[in-house]
Amino acid sequence: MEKAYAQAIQKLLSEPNADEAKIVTNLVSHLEATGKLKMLPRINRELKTLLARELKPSVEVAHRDEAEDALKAAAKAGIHAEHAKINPSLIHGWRARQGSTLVDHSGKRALIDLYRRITA
Amino acid sequence: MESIIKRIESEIAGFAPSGSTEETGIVRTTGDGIAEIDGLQNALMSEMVLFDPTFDRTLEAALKDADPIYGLVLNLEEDGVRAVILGDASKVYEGMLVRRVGRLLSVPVGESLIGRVINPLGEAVDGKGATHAKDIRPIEREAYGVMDRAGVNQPLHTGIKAIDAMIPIGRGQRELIIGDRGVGKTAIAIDTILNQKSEDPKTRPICIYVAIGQKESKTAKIVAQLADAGAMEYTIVITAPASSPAAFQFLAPFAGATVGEFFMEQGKDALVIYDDLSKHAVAYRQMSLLLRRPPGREAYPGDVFYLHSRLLERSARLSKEKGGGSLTALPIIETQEGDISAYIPTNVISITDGQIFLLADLFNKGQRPAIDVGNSVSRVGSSAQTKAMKKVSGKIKLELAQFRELEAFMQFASDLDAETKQRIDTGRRMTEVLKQNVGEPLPFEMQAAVIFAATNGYLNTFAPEETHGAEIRLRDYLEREVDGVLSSIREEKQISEETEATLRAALEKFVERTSESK
Repeated sequence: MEKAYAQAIQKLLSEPNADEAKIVTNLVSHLEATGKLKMLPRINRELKTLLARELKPSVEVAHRDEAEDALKAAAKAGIHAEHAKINPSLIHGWRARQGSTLVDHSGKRALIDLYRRITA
Repeated sequence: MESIIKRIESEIAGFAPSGSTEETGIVRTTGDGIAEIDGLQNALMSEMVLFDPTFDRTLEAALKDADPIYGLVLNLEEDGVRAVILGDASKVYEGMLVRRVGRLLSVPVGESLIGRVINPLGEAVDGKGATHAKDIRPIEREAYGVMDRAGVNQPLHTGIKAIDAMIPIGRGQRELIIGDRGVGKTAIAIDTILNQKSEDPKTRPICIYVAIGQKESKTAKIVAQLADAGAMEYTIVITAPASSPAAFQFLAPFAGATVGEFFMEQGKDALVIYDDLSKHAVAYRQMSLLLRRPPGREAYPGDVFYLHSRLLERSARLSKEKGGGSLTALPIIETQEGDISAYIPTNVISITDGQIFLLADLFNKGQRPAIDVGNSVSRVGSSAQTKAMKKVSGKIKLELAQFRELEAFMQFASDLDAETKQRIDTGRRMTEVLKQNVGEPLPFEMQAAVIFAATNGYLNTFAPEETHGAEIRLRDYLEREVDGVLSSIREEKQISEETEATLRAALEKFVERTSESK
């Protein structure tokens, strides 16, 4: 049930001129009226899950000088990020994420895959 | 030399890791070996997923613990999937990245598995290194259809007189071994594997012993017993011990069927023993409840019948066009207090082509193997029985049935008429002849000769209680002093008139000799 409420709120928020304060007030008064107010924390949790699922496009690079090429390559793969974040643990290359899609061209991933192949 | 170093340096400088686009998910909750994963919208049922602990760690930290943890997708839901964790569940955490592997759960198969002990994922657990099996097959597949199958018409000898004579098993058959704990179910299965040693290596079935939820000490003992007898030369052991996660115990028999099917498809015969499917059903119940599937009778999920039917349906004798191989299954079921009408026993009884029912009472009376002849049956095996065995065993079941009817009157022996007394004595003698020590399977030609002697009255000179000892002496006599009889039965698979005459003469001599020595 809480999932349905969370999805309804998400839909309302996607509409132009959505008034967040009004949505929350109306939701609380509706839950109160129907005796379901204790559902509120669970609805909030579902909203957090939905938010986490709407992962914004992100691009990470190992070095600053790889950023421009990485953003272009990520865009080619369908992930359009405005800027790249520096993540030295990648060692070399870049990786990009959007929603459930991951494109990993990092040296770290290549080395781990190689290690697993050798030690398997 | 310098130029080579420069070349390598330029190669390193130009290294561009080849990446790929993958679908990923995030672990939402985890517990009891089950992970609820957000995302993976395109994941398939029974697909493998990889829990990746390396994603948010440095390379150094990642390489310290880079062992992949696999999962198996078993529930497809509206906005995610539920998967069972096939590994150390304590290493899976909330927020962990999960990748799709892109293939259904598969196991490596091949000749190189013979003689090895593996887990349900095909990984060696015997400390002898990797198995090097190259072929990989999904563990779930549809069973062969009607047109691909042939009739069961070749015997699979267990080496146990009572079974080969009265409840014969054919290659491609599914024969259930059922009984309470500690009545010799596993012993029958192991004796069957040991007996294959006496088969012609060209037609000898590859044996697969699947230990589900068993104590590791028991499995180790069985492996040692098989190795000592030289039976590991044609045996594969798949183990999912009691200490392993329920998912491993659930997968083990399917892995066994997959390995067996590989040999069947090569045109060979294979025998797979599922020890036992009661524990398999319990593991599946645990998984299903944790996956929040609705419970049914005895809290088993609604598809527990389908679980076992789709497993056992994979046993078959293939048609000539498909290579003529076979996969025989000997599933084992443990009953409580001899109750064969419980949920899982009745399910498996209805799926299989017969059952060998072991009774605790008989076992405690010293009748071993403790087979309840009245409740045991083989629905298709008689057409696979050799002519020799068919000829000698025709009367046994009837005689034993008559004996069981009259057994109750044994205590009034002095008041019985001569004919009834004789029937009781014959039954007692036959019961003694069918006794057999564990780990001592007999080749079918020896069984045929012994049963021939018993059913034709050659052991009537012995008191019923002396019959078992006489039978052991008879076997020794036939093996050492009678030329040609056993070998001709083995080769011809029948008792010809000529062989019968020689056998009768030898048996008369045996009776004469033992009477003199009394």
